[in-house]
Amino acid sequence: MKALHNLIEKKVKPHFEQDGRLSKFYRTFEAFETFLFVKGDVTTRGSHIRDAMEMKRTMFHVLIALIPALLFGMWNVGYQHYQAIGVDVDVLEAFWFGVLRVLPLIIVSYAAGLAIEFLFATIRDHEVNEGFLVSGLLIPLIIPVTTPLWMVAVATVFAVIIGKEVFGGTGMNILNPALLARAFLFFAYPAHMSGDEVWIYTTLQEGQQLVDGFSGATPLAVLATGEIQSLPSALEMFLGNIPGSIGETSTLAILLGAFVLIATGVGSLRIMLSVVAGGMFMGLLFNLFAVNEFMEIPAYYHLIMGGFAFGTVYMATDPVSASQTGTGKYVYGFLIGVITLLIRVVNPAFPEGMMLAILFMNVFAPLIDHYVVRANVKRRLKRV
Amino acid sequence: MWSPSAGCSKRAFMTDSRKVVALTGSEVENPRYYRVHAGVRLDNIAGNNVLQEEGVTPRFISGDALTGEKISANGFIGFYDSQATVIPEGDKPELIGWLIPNMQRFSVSRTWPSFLMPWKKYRLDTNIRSGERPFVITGLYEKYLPMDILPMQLLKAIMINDIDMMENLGIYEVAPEDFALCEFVCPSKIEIQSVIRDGLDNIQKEFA
Repeated sequence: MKALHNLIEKKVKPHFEQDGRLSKFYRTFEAFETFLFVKGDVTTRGSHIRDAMEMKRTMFHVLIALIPALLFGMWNVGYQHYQAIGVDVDVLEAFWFGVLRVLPLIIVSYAAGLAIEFLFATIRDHEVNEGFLVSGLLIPLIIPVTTPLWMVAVATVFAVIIGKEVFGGTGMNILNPALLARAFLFFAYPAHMSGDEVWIYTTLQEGQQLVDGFSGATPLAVLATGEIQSLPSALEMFLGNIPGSIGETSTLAILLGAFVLIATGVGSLRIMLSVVAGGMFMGLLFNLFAVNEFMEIPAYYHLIMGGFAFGTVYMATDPVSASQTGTGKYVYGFLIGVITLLIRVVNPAFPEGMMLAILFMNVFAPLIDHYVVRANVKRRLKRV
Repeated sequence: MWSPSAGCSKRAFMTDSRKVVALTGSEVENPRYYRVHAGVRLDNIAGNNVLQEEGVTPRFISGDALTGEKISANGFIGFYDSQATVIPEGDKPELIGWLIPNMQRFSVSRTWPSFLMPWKKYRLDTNIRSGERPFVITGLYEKYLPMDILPMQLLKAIMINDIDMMENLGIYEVAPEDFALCEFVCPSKIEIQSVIRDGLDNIQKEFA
């Protein structure tokens, strides 16, 4: 280890410093250096001792929390494909099929996003921030597996530039970058993002054909057309072997991730519970005033269908774009749940409401915080 | 209370500039109290009391580890300080140190195994572990500042030098030491105490 460190400091680093040939790329070098090593930099001002937690460690735990959804999603991609062509395969074969389809999406997402991050770090001369380590994995998990790779790249570049860098980089963004990528894809290439053909990998090879009666519709699409009877069972929707975006189908896998986030204290339990409370509240309200079949389905069905669980656990809890005051988080989460159900059930144009609800509340989070701050100021003035 | 005119013995007319100073920290062999004069030189009291370990540089602090001033080995204990701390410098790089579980690291969060061993004593060093980042994690400072203040909003107001906002958010109620714990736990490694100090100085200049 000492040898590696010496090698990097003495042989590689001088090229990137002030008078080296590659001094323009210092920030890139620094990013790899801090990835390989926790440097021996010491405190100079303020507290002499510091907590061992820092951003890389935090992001790393979010990545761990995403692994159950990722692994299940990969298996599900293969399982849905083989179901569609009527072939029975075992777990490993289905999983391997999924790996081959999902890994390119992940690689393209990280490559495009990190390229932009490195570019801006060099232009603005600050350290490369770790924010994209998580967004880079979130983006592939919320898109259909049939998304072309170039679309993923364009959407990621859009999300990182317009969603983050334009506002000042990690920590300054108003909107959730992963959801912005998804929204970009949804509005720019709607034919590739919705409908019944996109959720399952159905590009067939020689000799394969789709089974009779094959439908690639997600549960929400089924409900939107009113065919309540062809809805999968609640157990199937909870376990996740249904069509949908890669990472969103299995509520069970997402719950495992939620457990990791809450156990390590990285994810906000407050926001997660508020979103669920808002969703249940709206669902029960619809049950009460049901005027069509969609409103009659049990309220808890909404938690296991579509992107509700994934959005609750990984998207709504993004600390930068969520409400940043404690009281604000309750309001923020509750309204996300309410608006998601509103868009799903009442709006005929969108079968899924989670993405739009979260983006909408991201825009309103500063307003919520403003009122919480005002209340704090008023309390202070009373004390004076 | 000493008063030059109280009592009738000769001693009552001499002020005693001695005070009790505690020598603390993991690098001290025998942590103990000393009765010394104010402004004593550190090596006069701690000279042979510091652990010498191969490859470990000690950091000498006048005051405590959260709010004290760094001094050299033969530096002086500050007038207002009644403690001197000696801790190891954390100047050794670690290979992928942010990833590998390590029982010697302490964190208030549950991202390190330290929360499983609440009885364990740690040898905290001065390694900062990360460059400065923007505010990302929210809700953390409020847990470590038991006042009715919104710490992150106050810090942001100071950073943009918005005097009105600073006053509204309670800059008059705080001193940098109040934020020492917030600075300790901050995952973005922001120099919070310095920010508060700058805010207070700016306000003083503004209304001078």
